[in-house]
Amino acid sequence: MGFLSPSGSVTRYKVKGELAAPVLETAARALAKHAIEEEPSVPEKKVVGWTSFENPYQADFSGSSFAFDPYLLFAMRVDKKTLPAKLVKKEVARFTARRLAAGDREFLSREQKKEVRAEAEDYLLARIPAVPHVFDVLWNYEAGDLWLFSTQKAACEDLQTLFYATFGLVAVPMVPFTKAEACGLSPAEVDALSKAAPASFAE
Amino acid sequence: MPMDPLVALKRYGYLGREFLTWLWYVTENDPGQVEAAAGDSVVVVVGNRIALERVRGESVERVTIRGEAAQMEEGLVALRKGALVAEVNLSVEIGDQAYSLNLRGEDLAASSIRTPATERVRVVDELAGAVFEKAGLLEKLFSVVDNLFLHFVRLRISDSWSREVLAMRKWIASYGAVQEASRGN
Repeated sequence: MGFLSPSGSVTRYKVKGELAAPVLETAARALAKHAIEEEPSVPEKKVVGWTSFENPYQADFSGSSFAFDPYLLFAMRVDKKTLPAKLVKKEVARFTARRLAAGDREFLSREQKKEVRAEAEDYLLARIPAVPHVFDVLWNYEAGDLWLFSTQKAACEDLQTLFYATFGLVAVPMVPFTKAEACGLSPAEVDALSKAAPASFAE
Repeated sequence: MPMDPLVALKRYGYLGREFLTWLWYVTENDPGQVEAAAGDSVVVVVGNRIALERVRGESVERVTIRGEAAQMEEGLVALRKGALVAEVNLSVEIGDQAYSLNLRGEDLAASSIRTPATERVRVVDELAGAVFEKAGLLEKLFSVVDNLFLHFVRLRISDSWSREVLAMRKWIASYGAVQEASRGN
């Protein structure tokens, strides 16, 4: 539970736009629609979706609270499957031998080698369990502040993609310049800042 | 129209590092300015870790300093060589509440955030209280960071910035003078 942990990390975003009213119902529907798939029909190396904050290992929001007006609290789960190189090598060898035995040639073409590798990876992806990574998300929908409780670059990218797919709203990362724009600078001040050049503090 | 964040990150990444470098200077030399920017009853001091980076073309030299004030002098040496603060540990007191965090200049991401302790959630009914309490504490902390950043940005685009740069250069150079004097003794 990153959000309530004694020590945590936060990457901040500003959400452009607002949820359609009634806000809580809209959010609940969108989150449920993009909840993580526990058993995707096609095995994937990476699956990203929402879960509840309270039960991140169940892709079901029913019975969990996520609305603490004006905050929405939920979690992004990233399930990753890592295929060990040696295991892939072994399965590729096995699938290659089988393919050769079924034909009358002593070698595979480049295209066939690619197919065999894809078959071996699919075979393994269907059998290897995914490792779940949970990142808490807090959204003050009135203020438009969105916090991801992680500073991992991959998690930040996943959040922006999933957030837009779910709510149709852009989460703008609050990096120094965008933060300055969002902090209350006037257009003239933003213009002056955009023309600034790096300073030199060393003599 | 707001700037694309990726463009902003690439073109103005230096702003965050300049902000942290200025913050170190101002906490050491002008705490009144910090209080004026951050708000009443707010004390901000640099904690036990500073990472500095010197960008030379494609390569980046990084120096991380941990420890108390004596070790921090190494940081001033790095600044004299043209490095900027890339990440800093800050201790923040808001009234009687103590916070700390590591702030990264490149993207203003915060890590190792410590807030005053909140009540443990033992039953689900206690969750709402914990959410409001923790969110409130974090908002207070980020409000201090944002106020300091906004103050820095306004200073950065003002006529006073060149004077501030001169004062910072003097501070950075002062360590070199102390070091040379101690060698002479």
